[in-house]
Amino acid sequence: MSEFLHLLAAISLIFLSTFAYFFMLTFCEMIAFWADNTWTLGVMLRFLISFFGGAFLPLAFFPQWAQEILHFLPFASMISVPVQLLLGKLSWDHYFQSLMTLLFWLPLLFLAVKQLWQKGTYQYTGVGM
Amino acid sequence: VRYLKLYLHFLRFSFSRAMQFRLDFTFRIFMDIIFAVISISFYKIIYLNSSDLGGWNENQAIVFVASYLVIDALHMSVFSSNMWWLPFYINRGDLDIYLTRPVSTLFFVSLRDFSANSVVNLFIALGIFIWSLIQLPIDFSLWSLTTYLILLINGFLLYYVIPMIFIIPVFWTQSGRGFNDFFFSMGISIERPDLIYKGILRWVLTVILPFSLIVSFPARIFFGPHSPHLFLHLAGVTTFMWMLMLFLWNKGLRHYSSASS
Repeated sequence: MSEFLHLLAAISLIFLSTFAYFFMLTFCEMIAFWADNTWTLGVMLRFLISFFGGAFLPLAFFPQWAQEILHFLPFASMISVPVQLLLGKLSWDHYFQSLMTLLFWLPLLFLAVKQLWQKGTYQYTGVGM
Repeated sequence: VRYLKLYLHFLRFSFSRAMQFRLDFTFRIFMDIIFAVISISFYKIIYLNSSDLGGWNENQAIVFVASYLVIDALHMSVFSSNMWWLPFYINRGDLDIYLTRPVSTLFFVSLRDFSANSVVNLFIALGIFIWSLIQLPIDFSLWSLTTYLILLINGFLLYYVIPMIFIIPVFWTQSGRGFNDFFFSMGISIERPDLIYKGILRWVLTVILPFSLIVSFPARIFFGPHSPHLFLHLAGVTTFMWMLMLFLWNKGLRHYSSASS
């Protein structure tokens, strides 16, 4: 039963993380309103998420001060926390903390995307219209 | 000399094109700086928790990662853009234009587009490489450094041959997506010391898909003790990979059918 609950908890974080990643990547892609090429921003984003999310290294290896900062960022909740949950190595307190972190970041990311979309469409000039 | 002149023309066009897209130029520099910082931080963090990784201490690992950054920057500048476009040329029939040129088609499609945006990063990577060598507390001879640089150039060329082997099947499969994704998933092993891999995975990474021969083997030879076995392994697998790539390329060209005629 506990394993099943851990699975559900991990799925819930992965589900929310999908939206978080979508908003982050959309934000990068929308820079295309001003730049000719934005693939580099997508690559940068993947580097950062993988590194700070714990895909390259377990976050427990990071110095304590870095772990405390990472606590407030959404990256760990996107990779490390779901994996730890699936392995049954995380307390429920940690899960709820990660859930709150994602729920805090999601509206902010959404607003950032919305803001950028509005700015972009104002300055967009169509060709051949 | 004819090929050298042609390549200088490629360079001139590439630089003038890169200058037209200033923001893209800046993004590329930032991307590569982030990549370099993350690569170095990765090893710095590991050595906060351990004093040895794959038989190397922290200074040796930093020389290894700096060498990788140089090879990657060279690859990004010289080959990466061409490799990105090659599947499109094959699928759209654009290869026709290159087949009719009075120069080697492989030379043309591999080197035509020089990514001038990556040159700044090449200088940054070279700076990190020199800094890492200065930090190395071991004395090394000029001969040993020259051998290392030659082996790294071999690694750079191998870093062209291996992805090409993944791209050439596009002649038959039409889409290179699966092969490409597989290459990028496995490609992370280039950035790791080969001695951390054991068993069948080690065999795969040093013989079948020799990613570990690009930087890790040259670094192991540089740090010593020198082993003739490593040189022979490197020479044998590199020669085989080149022959395989040229064989597949020629087969692919014979299979290629133009889209327009």
